[in-house]
Amino acid sequence: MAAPGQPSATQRLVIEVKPVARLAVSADPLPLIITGSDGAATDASGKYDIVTNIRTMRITASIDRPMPEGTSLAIRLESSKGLSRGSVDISQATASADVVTAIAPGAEQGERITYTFSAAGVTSGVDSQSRVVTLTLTE
Amino acid sequence: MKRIAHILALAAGAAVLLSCIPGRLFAQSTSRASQTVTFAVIPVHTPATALPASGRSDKVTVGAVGSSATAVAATRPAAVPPHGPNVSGRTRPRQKGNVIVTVTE
Repeated sequence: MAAPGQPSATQRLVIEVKPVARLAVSADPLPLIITGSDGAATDASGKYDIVTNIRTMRITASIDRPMPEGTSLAIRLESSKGLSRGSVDISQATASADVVTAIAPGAEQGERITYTFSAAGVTSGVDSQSRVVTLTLTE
Repeated sequence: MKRIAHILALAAGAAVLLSCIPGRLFAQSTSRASQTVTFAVIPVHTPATALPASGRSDKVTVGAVGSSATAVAATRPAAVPPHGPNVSGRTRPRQKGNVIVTVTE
């Protein structure tokens, strides 16, 4: 409240923008099944969304357990605000591997996730197995 | 009354402490999401192929486990050497010149 008789008054505003990073993915991809002479199986049905106000973010990928011997799993994330690293082999990536780098602040929606399962080094069948792939949006 | 006043004082102190914690602690600079990937390799038994043989050192190309093929050999060949860690081949001469190659585990 201004004092009576005074023409103006001031207030001090404290403003702050907190860092925001949000990553969401769609449902699990379809099973990747290799039959006969096919050397690889691919699924590109997955999508992801991100929102961030932090400069130079990146997305990393990791799996909970290494892939079976003779097989490989690669992941590719498309990006309009960052630099996609293309198809990245995460077969042994129990530690994180960069899949998108230099992400600018903003939002991306419905960007495609592509998985490629290869079994070039397998001479017999591989029973159905699963791996959990974790994507992390981080600085 | 003293106890109530003490509790109120503690609550006020806690509120002051919380207000002093930097806002960044409550911000989110990392976010994670997961997908489960399921995969499998289904073996398919495709027919084997055999090249016409002309002697003991002839090569025979074999297919998946369970497949077989027939080759015409000029002479009775020796056994087919192993093909890979889990697959071996064997010859079964029926008559002079005919060889059946079968792939077994």
